[in-house]
Amino acid sequence: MSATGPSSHRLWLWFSVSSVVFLVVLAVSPIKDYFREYRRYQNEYRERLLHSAVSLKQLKQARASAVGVRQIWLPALDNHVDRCVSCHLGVEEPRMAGAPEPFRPHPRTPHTPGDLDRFGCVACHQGQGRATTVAEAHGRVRDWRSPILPVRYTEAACGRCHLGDTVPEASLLSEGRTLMTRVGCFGCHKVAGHEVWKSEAPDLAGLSQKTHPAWLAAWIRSPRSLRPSTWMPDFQLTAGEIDSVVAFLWSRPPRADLDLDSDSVAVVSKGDADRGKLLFSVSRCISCHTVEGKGNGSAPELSGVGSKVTRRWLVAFLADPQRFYPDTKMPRYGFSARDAADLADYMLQEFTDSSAPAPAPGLHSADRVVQAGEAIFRRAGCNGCHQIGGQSNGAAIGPELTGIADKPVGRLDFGRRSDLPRALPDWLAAKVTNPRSFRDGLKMPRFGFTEHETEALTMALLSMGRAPVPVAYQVPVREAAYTPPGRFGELVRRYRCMSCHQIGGTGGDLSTAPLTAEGSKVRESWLADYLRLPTTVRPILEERMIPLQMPDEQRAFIASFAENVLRDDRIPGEIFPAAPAPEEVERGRKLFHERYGCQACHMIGGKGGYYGPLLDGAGQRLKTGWIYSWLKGPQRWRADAREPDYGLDDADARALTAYVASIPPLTPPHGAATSAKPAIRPGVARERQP
Amino acid sequence: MKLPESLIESRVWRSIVRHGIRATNRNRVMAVMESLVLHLHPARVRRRSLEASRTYFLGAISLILFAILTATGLLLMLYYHPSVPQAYDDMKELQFTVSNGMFLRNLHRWPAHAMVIVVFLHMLRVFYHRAYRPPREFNWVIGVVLLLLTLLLSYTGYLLPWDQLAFWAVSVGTNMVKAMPLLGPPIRFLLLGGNVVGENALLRFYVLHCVMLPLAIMFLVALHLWRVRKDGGLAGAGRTGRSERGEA
Amino acid sequence: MTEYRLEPSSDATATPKRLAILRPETAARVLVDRDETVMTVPHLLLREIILIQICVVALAVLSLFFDSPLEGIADPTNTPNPAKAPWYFLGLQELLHYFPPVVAGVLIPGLVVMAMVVIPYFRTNLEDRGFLEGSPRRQMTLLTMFTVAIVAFLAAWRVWAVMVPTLVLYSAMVLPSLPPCPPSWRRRLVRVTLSDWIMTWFVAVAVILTLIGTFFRGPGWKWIWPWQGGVSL
Repeated sequence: MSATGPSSHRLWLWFSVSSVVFLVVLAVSPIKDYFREYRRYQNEYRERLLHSAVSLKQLKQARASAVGVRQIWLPALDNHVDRCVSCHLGVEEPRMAGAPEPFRPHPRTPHTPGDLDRFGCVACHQGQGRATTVAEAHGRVRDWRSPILPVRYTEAACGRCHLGDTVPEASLLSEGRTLMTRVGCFGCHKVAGHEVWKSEAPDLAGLSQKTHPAWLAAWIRSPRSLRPSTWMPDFQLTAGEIDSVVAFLWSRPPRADLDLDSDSVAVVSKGDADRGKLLFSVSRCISCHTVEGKGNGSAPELSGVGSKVTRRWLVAFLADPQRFYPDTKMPRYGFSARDAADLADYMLQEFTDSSAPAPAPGLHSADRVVQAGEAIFRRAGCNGCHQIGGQSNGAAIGPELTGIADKPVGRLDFGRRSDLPRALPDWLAAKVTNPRSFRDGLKMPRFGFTEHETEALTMALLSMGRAPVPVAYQVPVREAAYTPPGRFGELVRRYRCMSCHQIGGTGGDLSTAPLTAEGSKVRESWLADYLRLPTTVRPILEERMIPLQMPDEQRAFIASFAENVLRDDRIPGEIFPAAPAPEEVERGRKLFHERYGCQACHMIGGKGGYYGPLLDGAGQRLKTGWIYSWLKGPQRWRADAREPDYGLDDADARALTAYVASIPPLTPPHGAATSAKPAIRPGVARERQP
Repeated sequence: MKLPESLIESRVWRSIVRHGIRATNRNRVMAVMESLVLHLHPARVRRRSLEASRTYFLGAISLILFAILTATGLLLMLYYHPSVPQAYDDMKELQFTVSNGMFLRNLHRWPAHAMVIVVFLHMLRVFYHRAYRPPREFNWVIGVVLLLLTLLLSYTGYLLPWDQLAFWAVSVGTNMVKAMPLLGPPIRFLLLGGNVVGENALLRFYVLHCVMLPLAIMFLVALHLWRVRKDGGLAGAGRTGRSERGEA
Repeated sequence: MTEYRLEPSSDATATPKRLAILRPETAARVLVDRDETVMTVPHLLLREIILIQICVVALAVLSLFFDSPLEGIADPTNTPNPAKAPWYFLGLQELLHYFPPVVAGVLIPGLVVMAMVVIPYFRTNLEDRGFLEGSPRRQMTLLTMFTVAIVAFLAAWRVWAVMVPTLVLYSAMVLPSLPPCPPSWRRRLVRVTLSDWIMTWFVAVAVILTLIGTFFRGPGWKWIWPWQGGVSL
């Protein structure tokens, strides 16, 4: 029998055909490999480099650049490997300005140029660093958790390292974070790092003493229509549910500690509304409150308050707000009982809201309704923000938001919202604006955020990553809040100085004058006078220091405490042991008016700009050591000071100091202060630095 | 004497290939007899055994798939670290930076799935052809064990990419083991090196997948093929003539 | 001493004379091996090489067009819904949907493996007698009783996915005894042995369960259509 035959020949033929196919197929992958996407970009970039080369060295460098994967490896940052620079080749090449993507240099930010080797790309922009193809690198693929952040939300990434509420140069993020704290997100949603959170919403104990049921019902129905500036959201309750909640709140026992029922003279006697009006304006209430939208807005709107509160409550509240709400930011003015009654009558008469329901008598409801109301109160999460008699029962009824920024799109519940793009930022924005549009039965109320607020909140949410960044990258919240000590502390708390002023980096930001080094800055005698009758220091500001009507002894104590304790050792006391020589003053005058043109911002004798503080009588107010130190470099003392740093030499600074300190006061400082009552236009206040 | 001929007649050539290359039947027999690899085959085979309907080449395809998997698997081992999260990152490296990395990975994954199917089909073919009958009972048992080993090999490999798919597939699978009364939990603990699917499990699955199970399969495949020859070569379809085929 | 039978080979020209000693229960007869043989080289060797090349080419083409799936990094806190086992275990996972874990995860696969191992040691029906050859009436009665029991059991557990193929196979088994069966079908069906029927039933059930588990199960192990959810292998 023969081994070769027709069948064998066919076999050999098959064998040769399959061998060729075999080799061809195996060659496909290496060929595909050679034409990878990034190689095209690298070749194009090389051409651009060659064309833009202006020196031989640059030309040589361009020629020497080899095609290959480029990467930034960050072992210290969760072992990131960012190969974005394989295509985005010009991120650090200023010569590529104006080139199209992906060759454009990175725009200037606080971290670029310079920090690329510390942060890479993905830490801020997200996406998939290891990838070397366009679609995969930008993370727009099904199985990659964090697609690239839309550019408008890049700020959110700052918040992954910067843990504080205020992030420098990330204004929208800072706004969003502050907003989150204010509007009460943390009342319902747990977020790691925000476990301790204090709601701004009032304690609801004693509500029946403060207002009347009809107003409360109208308020719950639509808080914004009664006070547009409120953050209380619309819970979209039915009328029946609202009645139950009102019934529940009305059934709470009144606050016995306020003895609102005692019929003191002030409560019974009719006040003088005209005098109340004067007091209202003199006390500068609108430095914090608004009336019909005018005013600062850091405290509640007052128009309509007359239709809301009872007279009894208002009189007692004005006399001592802190007894009602221990955490209120409102200072305790030194109002007499008569002052309080006058003010209250003015407010009740003036600040009425015609749309608010008329006061109705008390309410007594069946237990069943009360219980139903309590159930709704808890179910809706009211107690997330409102305590009742100091009890909140921690109502974290919302889902935890820790790590929301890293939630994969696949795990988001889009429900009915088929109109939304399948992306986390859009989902978050829609949740914030219209939380119940996703499906029935959701609990989150409607806050009515503006578009801008929505964007800020989305930004803040997008900054809440799941795992903290490595400690070396964290910029922690500043610890150790300053607590003023002893008697000074008591006074600061009573007058709520830190609602507006900062001391040692803690406190409100309403005032432009931090008090940390007040003693090194102003003279003790001036301060004591100023506290009696705050005069205008900065004409441009609308919010003024309020006259607190403190007793003389307290003023003296505060001034002396500032003089002795609130000091900065870097600032000398007086730099002129004796009065400065007249020639030096004259030289300073020339420098002031001619060389540096300080009058453009500062007003003297009613002439000059009103951007900076008035300088009339600056010598009585400020210590020469401070003026000198300030002139040598304003930004040393306040990073955001607007006054330019002219880089003055010592002699010029001395001369200017001598001149400024010699400017006479417009009116004798003690002249105005002698009148027992403040004038109607005391107008002074809130000062920035000298 | 021409050059090729002198080459073939040279002592060096002859020390490697002892017979000539001319297509004589003697040389063909020698090619089988002298070769280590071809020693699995007899020098002559029955023409009918070569027909596709006899075997559908399923056993051969299984072996080929195993060979492909061994080759690509060895190459993949050069790029893989069985640790968390490096294992997952290595998958990304294969995809994005290793030359032909994705092709390599595909050429390991798809044959792995194919092998499960082909081995199962091979078993069906043997069953329907009655090829498990005496004297081949034991070879059938070896085959069943090989099928189980194939499943295990595929299953242990499933975890190695350390992605969601892998993790949850293995979690689901090992939770089934837990259902076994008495022995379940200890077996699961042994398999995972702990109570959860974690880095220990990854290491164990890696060692099982790359060393233990392949060695076991290689040994059993050798035995399997050896028995096929010892039991009289390929068994044909049982229906023809209603009897076992055999050489004895 | 068992009884031996002497069976002389009939064609002495083709084969050397042989004696075969057979035990009576062995059905296999020694047939004359008249098969033509060919050289392993090149006939078998070339076929093997071509087969290797075809396999590699087919898989390489597959690999060029379809990339292996890779989802997000393993995250124990993020359970996908549904969490699926590798596809070849999805038949078992589907069973788990019907039966308690001990039955679906241990008892059934254990029994299947046991059955597979012992198959060759059951030396029944070595003559390959068809299921309906011999005494069909008795067989039919037994079969029907058995099927009714199984179907009742499956119905009790609501395992429709197994019940349907069971009933289809039952119909195929009883078809030859029904008048409307075409004769060509009948000839074939009659000769199918019981073991083949059982194996076919097992394979059908396994394949159907695996397919259902792979393509038709969505979140909460609820029924979906394949185009509604992705499949990752």
